[in-house]
Amino acid sequence: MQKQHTTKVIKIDNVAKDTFVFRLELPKFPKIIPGQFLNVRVPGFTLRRPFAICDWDEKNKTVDFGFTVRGDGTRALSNAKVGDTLDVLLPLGNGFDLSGLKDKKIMLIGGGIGAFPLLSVVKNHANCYSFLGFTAKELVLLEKEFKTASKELVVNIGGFVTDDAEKAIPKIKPDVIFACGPEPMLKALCNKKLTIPVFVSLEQRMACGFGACLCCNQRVLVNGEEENLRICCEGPVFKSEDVIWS
Amino acid sequence: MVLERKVLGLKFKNPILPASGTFNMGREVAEFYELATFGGLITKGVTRAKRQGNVAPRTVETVGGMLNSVGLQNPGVDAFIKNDLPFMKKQGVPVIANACGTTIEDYVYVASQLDKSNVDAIELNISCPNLGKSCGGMSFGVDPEMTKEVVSAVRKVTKKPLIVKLTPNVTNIAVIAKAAESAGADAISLINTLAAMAVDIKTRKPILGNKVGGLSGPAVKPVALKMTWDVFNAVKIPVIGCGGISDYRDVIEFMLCGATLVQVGTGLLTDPMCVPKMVADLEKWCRENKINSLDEIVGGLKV
Ligand SMILES: Cc1cc2nc3c(=O)[nH]c(=O)nc-3n(C[C@H](O)[C@H](O)[C@H](O)COP(=O)(O)O)c2cc1C
Ligand code: FES
Repeated sequence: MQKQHTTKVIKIDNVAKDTFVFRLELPKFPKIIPGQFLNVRVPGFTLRRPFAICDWDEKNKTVDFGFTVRGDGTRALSNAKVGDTLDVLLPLGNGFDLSGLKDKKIMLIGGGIGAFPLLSVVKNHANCYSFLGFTAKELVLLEKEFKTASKELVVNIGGFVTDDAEKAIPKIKPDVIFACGPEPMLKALCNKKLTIPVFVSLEQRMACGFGACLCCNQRVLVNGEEENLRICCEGPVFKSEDVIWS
Repeated sequence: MVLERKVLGLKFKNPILPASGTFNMGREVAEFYELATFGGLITKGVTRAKRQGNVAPRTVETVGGMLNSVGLQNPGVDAFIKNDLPFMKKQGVPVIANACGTTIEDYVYVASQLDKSNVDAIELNISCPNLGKSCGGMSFGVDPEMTKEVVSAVRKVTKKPLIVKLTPNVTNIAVIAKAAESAGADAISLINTLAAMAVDIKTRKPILGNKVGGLSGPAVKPVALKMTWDVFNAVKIPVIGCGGISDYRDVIEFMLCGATLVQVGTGLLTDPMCVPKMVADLEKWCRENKINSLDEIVGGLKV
């Protein structure tokens, strides 16, 4: 399957403070799984920048990804214009496994830009209950998109969205929880020792994004043994009880 | 045919190899194109026992390059021979195993296991800067006597072509290259990464989990070219150039400085597709410049 794509930027939305969603047009459309990511080459930089895929349209051969400006690379990327060409590797990573979840209730818990990969789930599954947390009002993103596609949406500004979600569990009775966000949030969620299976999507500094360099390690339990797995290949989604937090 | 290289008793259909550690054991790049696009293959560094490598984060971009502190995460030489080597050997181009150790005994063990396998050559990494103070990985390659000691010990246990890969973190690299040659090396490859660090002013901490790492990419190319030239002028055995190569002009520059073959590392991470392009562009350049064999340019720097 082709992994390198020469794409065209066809739409740029400034969805929150310093936060953008780019729509890319692909010459050839690959099969994508919710929660997978892409790795964008930013002209003038040595390393690509990895971002979650948040939506796609197979018919029109488009893929959306979102990011917040964090450093020089993302700053440069945010200056791209509609019509520009971007060299992108995709789809990368394992993604959220939705097979066997048909008709099941999925609880989504997102913190900040952790909402981006979760949007790809809500767009592909009819029975989602979404809980999104943001540290400030100007950082709230994708509220409309989540509201339209979810059964229920709770947005928390400045508090702990994981607590909101925990309180709602007895009422919603989700079959599975998918979460993405800052490490302290995911850790707090895992420490709740919920009886429902929890899958977390993790982040790490990457070099290649496709498994060749071993730069994106995460300590994970594999058959009871501690292993360093690649977030870009065996991840970014891991079963929460397997993750060994730093 | 014009790109074909005969070195170390092996035939490489072009001079371009992946640099160890930027290609794992080949399976990932194989999802982009046929591995026979390369003149030959080089493995991730293998050690006596399985290694988990360093703590995260292991990489960060710096101006014109990147740092890494992977710390030789690998399955161990025996698991490599069993699980990865058969796949690599199937690709139809020579396979070079990158061997690392922390003691002479480790190097000898790894080399003797590789000697019994069907790898085509061994690249002895006496330069990995990631093993920390208590280990010997750093010290072998920074000292001519230690270099001689480890190369002679390995030479005794293998008849396979032996490439010794040098660290640039030395005062005079030509002295180390000569030491390796006198101890029986069949070729020299260089450079490994430059010892380096990056700092976050917000946290006032080093960015890498391991605090220090190795610099690679376009930023190191001028250093690597100079060292390739120094070593080419100091030894009689073939030299393999590496450091910041990302297009065919870089390949020509290294060959003019004396490289018989080259390795592409960080370039593969930036753009895995750079290699097929590099091969095609190099061939075109040779045609346009009426070069019949790359031997015509190796060491041809006009000084
Ligand atoms: C992520 C990474 C891992 C590496 N691992 C190894 C290794 O296992 N053994 C080795 O000899 N060199 C290793 N190197 C060094 C490269 O093979 C090469 O010598 C160096 O990166 C300079 O070349 P470049 O600028 O083309 O990357 C590694 C480099 C990188 C970036
Ligand atoms: S970023 Fe290179 S292996 Fe994951």
